[in-house]
Amino acid sequence: MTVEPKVFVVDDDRSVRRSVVRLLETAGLRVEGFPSAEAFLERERPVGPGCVVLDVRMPGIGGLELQRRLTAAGWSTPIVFITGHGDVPMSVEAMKHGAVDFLLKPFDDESLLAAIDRAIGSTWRSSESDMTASRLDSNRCLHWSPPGC
Amino acid sequence: MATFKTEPRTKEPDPPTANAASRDTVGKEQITRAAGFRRLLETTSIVQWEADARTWAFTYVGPQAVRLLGYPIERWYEPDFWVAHVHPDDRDEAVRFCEQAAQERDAYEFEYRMISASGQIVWLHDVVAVDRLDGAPAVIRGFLIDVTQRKRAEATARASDARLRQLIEQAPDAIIAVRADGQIAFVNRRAERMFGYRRGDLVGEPFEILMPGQLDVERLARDHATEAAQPLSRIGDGVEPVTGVCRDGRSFPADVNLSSLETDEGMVVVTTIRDISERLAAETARRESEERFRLAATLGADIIGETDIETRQVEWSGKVDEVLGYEQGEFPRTVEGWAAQLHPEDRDRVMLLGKEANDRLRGMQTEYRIRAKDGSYRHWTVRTAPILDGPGRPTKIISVCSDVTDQVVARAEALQHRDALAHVARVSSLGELTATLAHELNQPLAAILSDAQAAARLLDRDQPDVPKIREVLRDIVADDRRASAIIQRLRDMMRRDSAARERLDLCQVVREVREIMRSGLTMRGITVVPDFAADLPTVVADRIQIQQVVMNLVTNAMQAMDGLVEARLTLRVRCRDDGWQIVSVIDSGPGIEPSMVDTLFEPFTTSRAGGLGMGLSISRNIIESHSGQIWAENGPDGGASVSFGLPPGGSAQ
Repeated sequence: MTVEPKVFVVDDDRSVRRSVVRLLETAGLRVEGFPSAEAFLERERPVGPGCVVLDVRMPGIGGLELQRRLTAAGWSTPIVFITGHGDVPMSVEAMKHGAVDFLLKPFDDESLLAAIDRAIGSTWRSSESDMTASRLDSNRCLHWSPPGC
Repeated sequence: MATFKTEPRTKEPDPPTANAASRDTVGKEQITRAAGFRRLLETTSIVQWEADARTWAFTYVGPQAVRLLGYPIERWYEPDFWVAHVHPDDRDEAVRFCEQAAQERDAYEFEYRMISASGQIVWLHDVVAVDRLDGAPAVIRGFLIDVTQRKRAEATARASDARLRQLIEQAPDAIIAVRADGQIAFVNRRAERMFGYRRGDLVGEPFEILMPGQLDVERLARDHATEAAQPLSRIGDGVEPVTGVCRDGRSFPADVNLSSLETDEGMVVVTTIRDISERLAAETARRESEERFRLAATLGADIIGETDIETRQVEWSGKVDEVLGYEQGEFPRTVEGWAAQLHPEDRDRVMLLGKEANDRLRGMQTEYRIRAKDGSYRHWTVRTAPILDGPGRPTKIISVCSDVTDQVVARAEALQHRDALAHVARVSSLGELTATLAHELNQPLAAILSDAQAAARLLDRDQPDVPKIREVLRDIVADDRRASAIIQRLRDMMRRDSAARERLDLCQVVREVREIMRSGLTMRGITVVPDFAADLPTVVADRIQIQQVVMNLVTNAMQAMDGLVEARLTLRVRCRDDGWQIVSVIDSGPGIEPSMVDTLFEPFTTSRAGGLGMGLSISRNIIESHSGQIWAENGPDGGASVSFGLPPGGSAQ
C-alpha cells in the first residue's frame, strides 16, 4: 500500500505559512499548515512518508526546541528549516540534530521543492537502508552556504 | 471811644519875681513872646481855642480849625457847635467829663471823636486849662490836636493782635510762652487740653512740670540772650521724642519747636508742642510691616515689583538683580525697561494681559520668559494686583514673581529623557537593528517569492485558474506593502543621532530612573531599597542608553514581583576590586527559571505572555557596546538579581 507523502508547514507568520502551503499545493503535494509548534504537537502522529517545513523563530516553542522534542519522542520525520535570520551556529546545531536542510527566507521554489524531495527521499531511504541523519548532514549542508563557511 | 485824663487841681506856682528895675522891659518882652508863640502855633495844625465855661460856646477859635473839620470859621461860633459836632457815641460822656473836670481841675486832657463837614470821623486830643471867677469855672482854653492817624494805627494793631491771639488759641499745637526765669507766661487752649490743666493753673508755674528734666528753658533763654550762638530750634524729631507729662501723670511723646520772642517783659521762649504718639504708633506699625515685607521678599524666592502707573517706574524688591545675573540695582527700573527684556514670543501676550487686567481693575496671573544679563531666559510665574486710590483709580500694580526656571527645565529634561528612553526601547544598537530588520523583512519577502512562483506555476497549467491567480497576486501586493511599512518603521527608529558618551555618576543615573519610574513602583506597592556605595568614580557612557538598561532591568523586576505581597526592589551600585562598577537590580520575586538562565539575554526570550523578549537582549547589546558585561543569577534567598558592570575610566566604542 502506497501512502502519498505529506508536508507539514509550521510557521507563526500567516503570510509565509499561507504562501508556502499554496506553493507546495501547486506543486502537487499534500500540505497542512500549523501556526505554532504547540498546534503541530497536538496533531495525531502522522503515518507514512512526509516531512516538516519548520520556522526556527516562533513564540513559545521555537523550531529547534520542537526538533528536540520530536527526536526525543522518536519521530523520524525529516525537517526542512526555514528562517528569516539564521546564523552559522544555529544552522550547524539544527543539522547536527538531523535537519535535512536549512533555508534562508526568502527561498526559491526550486530550492524548497528539492529540499522536500530530499527529505521525503531520505525518509524512504532511511526506512530502506540504515543511513543516519548525521551522515546526511555533510552532504546537505552545501545547499546553503553561510558566509565564512 | 473817647479817653479822658485829668490833672489834680493845684495852685499854680507864683511866677518868679522880677526886680522893679526890669518890670517894664519884662512887660514888653511878654507881649512879644505871646505873639511869637501864637504865630508858631498858627504854623502847626494845632487849633487853639477859648470858650465860655458855662455855655460851651467858643469865644475864639484858631484859623487852622477850618482845615481840621472843614467847617467855615463862623460856624464854630454858633452856640452849640462843639456839643453838636462831637460824635454821638462820645457826646454825653465828653460833655459830662468836661463839666465835671472843669469843676474839679485846673487842667485836663481827653480824647474824643468829632464829625467833619464831609461826615468823616476825626479823632481829637483836647488839652484844656480852666480859668475861674470866684471859684467857678468862667473861661476854658485849650488845644485841639488831630490824632486820627494814631488812633487808626492803634485800632489796626489791636485788631491784628486779636487775630493773632485767635490763631494762637486755635492752633493745633500746644503753644506755651516761658519767661527767662522758667515760668510759664502764656498757654493756649490746646496746651490746656494736651496737659490737662486749666490756663490759670499753669501761668506762673515752672515749665519744668510739663516736660521735667528735658528742656532747660532758663538756660536756653539765657544762652540766646547772651551768646545768640545756638538758634533755638526743633527738639525731638520723632526718633528721640521729648516726653510730656500730663496733670494726671500720663506721659506722651512730643515734638517740640522753640522760638524766642523779645517782649516788654524780656526774653520769652515760645514752645510749640505736638503730641506725636499717634504718628509714632503709625510709623512703628509701618516700619514693622515694611520690615516683614522686606524679610519675606529677601527670604522667599519671590521677586516683588511695585509699578507706579503714572511715572511707569518699577520698584523691585527681593533678588531681581541676583536672579537675572545683574549687579545690584542694574536691572531696569521702568516698565519699558522690563518689557524690553521679555521674550519676544511672550511680550505682546503679557502686555495685552496687563492692559486688560488694568482696565478691569483686576489682577492677573501668567507665566513668561525674561532675559537674564547673559542672554539666557528665565521662566517666571507672575501674579499681579492693582492698588487703588481713594476714588478707585489704580495707582500702582504689585507683581509677585517666582523664578520657576529650574522646575521648567527639569520638567522639560524629564520629558526629553522619557522620549529618548522610549526611542532606545525601540532600537538599541545597530546589530540588534540589523537582526530585527532581516527577520521582519524576510517574512513578507519569503511570502512574496513563494506566492509569485506559485502564480507562475498556476499560469503554466493548460487551464489557468484565473480567480486563484488573482487571489495570489492580491496577497503579493499586501505583503509588499507590509515590507515597505517595516522599512519605514525602521527608518523612523534610526533617526536618533549616534550615541553620545559622557562622564556619568552611575548612582545618579539609577536615581534618575527611580524618579522616572516612581509612580509605577509606588502603584505596585514595591519598596525600593537604594544601596549605593559612596564616592564612586565616574564612568564614560551614554546616559540615555545606560538609563534604558536600568529601566529594562527595573521593569523586569517589577513584572516578576507582580501580585506579591512583599515586593522589595534593591538598587545596588558597587565598585569591584578591579575598578569595574557594578549595578545590580535585585527583586524578591520567584527567581529565574533554571531553563531560561542561559538564554535569558537572547532575543525573543521571554517568560511573559505577550512579551517580545527584547528587553534583556537590547540591554546586553548596549552593555557590550560599552565593553561591559551583563549577567543574571538567582539570589541565595530567592529572587532574581540582574547586574551589569562597566569597566573603569573610558570604555571602548
